[in-house]
Amino acid sequence: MLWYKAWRESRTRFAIIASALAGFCLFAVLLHHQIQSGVTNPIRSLRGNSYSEHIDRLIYSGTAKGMFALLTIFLGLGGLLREKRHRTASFTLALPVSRLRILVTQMAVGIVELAILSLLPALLIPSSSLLVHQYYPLAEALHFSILWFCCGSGIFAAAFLLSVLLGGEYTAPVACYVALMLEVLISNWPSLRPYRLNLMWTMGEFGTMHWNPEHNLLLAGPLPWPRLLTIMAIALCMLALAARITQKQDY
Amino acid sequence: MMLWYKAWRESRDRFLLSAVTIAALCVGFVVFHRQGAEISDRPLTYLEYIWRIVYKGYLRELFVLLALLLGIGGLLRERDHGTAGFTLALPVSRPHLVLVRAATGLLEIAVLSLLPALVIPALSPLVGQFYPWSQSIQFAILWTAGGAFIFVIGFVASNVFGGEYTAPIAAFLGLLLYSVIVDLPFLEHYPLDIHDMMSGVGMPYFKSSVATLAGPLPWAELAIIFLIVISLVALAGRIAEHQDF
Amino acid sequence: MSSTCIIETHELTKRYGSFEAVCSLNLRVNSHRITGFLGRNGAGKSTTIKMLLGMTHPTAGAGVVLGKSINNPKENREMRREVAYVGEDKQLYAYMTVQQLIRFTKSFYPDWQRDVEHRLLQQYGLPLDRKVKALSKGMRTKLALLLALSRRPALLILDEPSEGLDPVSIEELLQALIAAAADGTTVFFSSHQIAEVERIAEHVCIIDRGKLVMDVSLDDMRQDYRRITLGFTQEQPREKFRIQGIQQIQTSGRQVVLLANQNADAILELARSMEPVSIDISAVGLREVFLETVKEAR
Repeated sequence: MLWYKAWRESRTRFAIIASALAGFCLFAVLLHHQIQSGVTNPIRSLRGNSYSEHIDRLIYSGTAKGMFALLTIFLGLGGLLREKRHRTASFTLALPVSRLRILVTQMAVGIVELAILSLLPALLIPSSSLLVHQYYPLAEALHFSILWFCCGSGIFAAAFLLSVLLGGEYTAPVACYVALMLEVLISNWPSLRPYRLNLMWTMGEFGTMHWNPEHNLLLAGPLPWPRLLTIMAIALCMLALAARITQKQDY
Repeated sequence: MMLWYKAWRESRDRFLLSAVTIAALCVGFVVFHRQGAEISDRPLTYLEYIWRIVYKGYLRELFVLLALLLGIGGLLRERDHGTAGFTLALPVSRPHLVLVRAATGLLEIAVLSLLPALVIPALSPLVGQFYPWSQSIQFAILWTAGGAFIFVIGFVASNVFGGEYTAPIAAFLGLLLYSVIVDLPFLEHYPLDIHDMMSGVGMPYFKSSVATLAGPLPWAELAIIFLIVISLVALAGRIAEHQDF
Repeated sequence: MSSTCIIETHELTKRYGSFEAVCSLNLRVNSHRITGFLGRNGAGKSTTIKMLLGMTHPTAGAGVVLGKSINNPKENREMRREVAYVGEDKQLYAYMTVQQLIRFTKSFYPDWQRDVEHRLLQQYGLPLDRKVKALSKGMRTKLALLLALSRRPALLILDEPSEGLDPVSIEELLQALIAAAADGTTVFFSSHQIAEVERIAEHVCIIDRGKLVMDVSLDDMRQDYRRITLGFTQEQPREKFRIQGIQQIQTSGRQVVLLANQNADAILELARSMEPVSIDISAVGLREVFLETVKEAR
């Protein structure tokens, strides 16, 4: 039932984020013709304004990516410190389960939700593209799902850790936004740029996409596994730290 | 007066965190301007660099999100914390409570907008550079108006949605929806995009070749934005008046 | 002191969807006395209080507190200048210290009584520099009482004030309410603790399932309510006892127990005419009246 509790606590957030993300994907696909025909800004139309480029511009390296990254923060919020504010912490902590188990359940539910959110565009875009007589490769969509999931885990873990550290209402999301911005800024610093530590770049395969021989599909290269594993390892460390801090907190 | 104090205390942590971050980033951008200017493929003048990184880029994006989160709070949150009964038993009207909270938030937005305007021109001579006060003050005015608009989106959302995270998520999605709508092809040519208004991109008062505000500020548009902000605050007051606590 | 009606509601109703929390409540509370608002959990006490204070909007009906309409936001605000409220969970701004919260509350009431504030501060031993979030529930209640009483309100409304308090704190709370009433403040408090209502209240209103089921002075109740236990040689049909003044009839074999709320003499006369073998008349406490009333209303 701890799973049920964790699910109930994050259910509304998850449903809103999933609906918004799905809605935006469908908007981008179903209205692609109107949107593409209206693109007059040369910066926004890089090469021939193809459907593949349109999806990349709006979903994988555009608005949907930013939306996913920022809303992932809200999936990571909550936990025992918030329960303390809502005066339910004592009830939860009186249950015959360890704090670690409570926390791990919350993390696991959050990670599963994150995985579903990462998969949403991959489920929706290739299938709905057929409805408008367009084609977007499933393999490419799944490639981005893996990127979104790994980078999203880093953001989720940071939000989780900050909501364990900062009890003030909305202090944790503010701190997490600031941290995400700083990560983007610092990793974009000229001396660090070659290492491509920028989460947002990694999620959108910024600067690494190439065209297929027919010049109608934007394709990504192989998945950057070492970088993804590093991000996942950092996320794991942050979650472990959150668990350790929670063990020592007074409620 | 004490209602102002209450509103301030409730947003103080968020505001201070935002202010420290904005100020620190401004200091960092100025001090490390040489390294920072390398983000571009071509050499940038100091004016272009500041505009790209502060007024158009990172800092503006951060400011937008912080303004949105500053708007969150209010009586519905107090209901969750069990203090709404105490607040509502005070001999003040609900619109008054809403108004004080909005005014406090808008003042905080104005201070946040002013921070780059104070830090950047003041620090620039220390690194052998110059950034005109007139430019930064004009951007501060644009940011105050844009920030007020974004703040009020969060403000109204938190008067409608009671859930702790529902309000900020709804506010964020509201902002996103607005941004998508004003970017639609048939609306793109109208000066409706608050983000462009704040950065000057594509605006007649902005000269992109030198990255400076060249023409007179769009006072009429700014006045309309403030009217919208006032109307939305009034709407929030009206919503609060009809709610049960 | 002459007593006037300080709270009056007319057909006050609050519905949440299909659930009727308060139904057509006609409540009258007189000034210069302590009135207990008694009811089970979920009976509609808090909803009624919230409607009186303008926190919740009535679905139907009207109400007047201190001559001001509860339906009119402006009048309601004026009324709140003279009304103090202590909520059920006594949650106050956690981020303020005791001193800051006193300063905050004081600013809304020009007639703040500094002497009362100092006296209660000393009496309750509240630490001025401690944050509200670090106070125990008992301390929070004392602070809430201090904030309420330092204004010398015309009306003090408390919602389950003794909820979660230890016996010593309850005693201090009850003493404070008695003292406030002695100073001329009308006290209206909700509770489901019969003993405390019986101890300090002069008047009791009982609400059940959103309906007012009893409105009685405790003195009248003590004088008029009687339990009459009759023993007979054979079983008696209940119908024989249905006369005015009998609130409840219980039969157990050859024994009949009547709860009379008035007309005791006529009831006794009737009982004697049936030639019982034993008659026992006893006074009735609030507990029994409450339990019988609530049971009967079901």
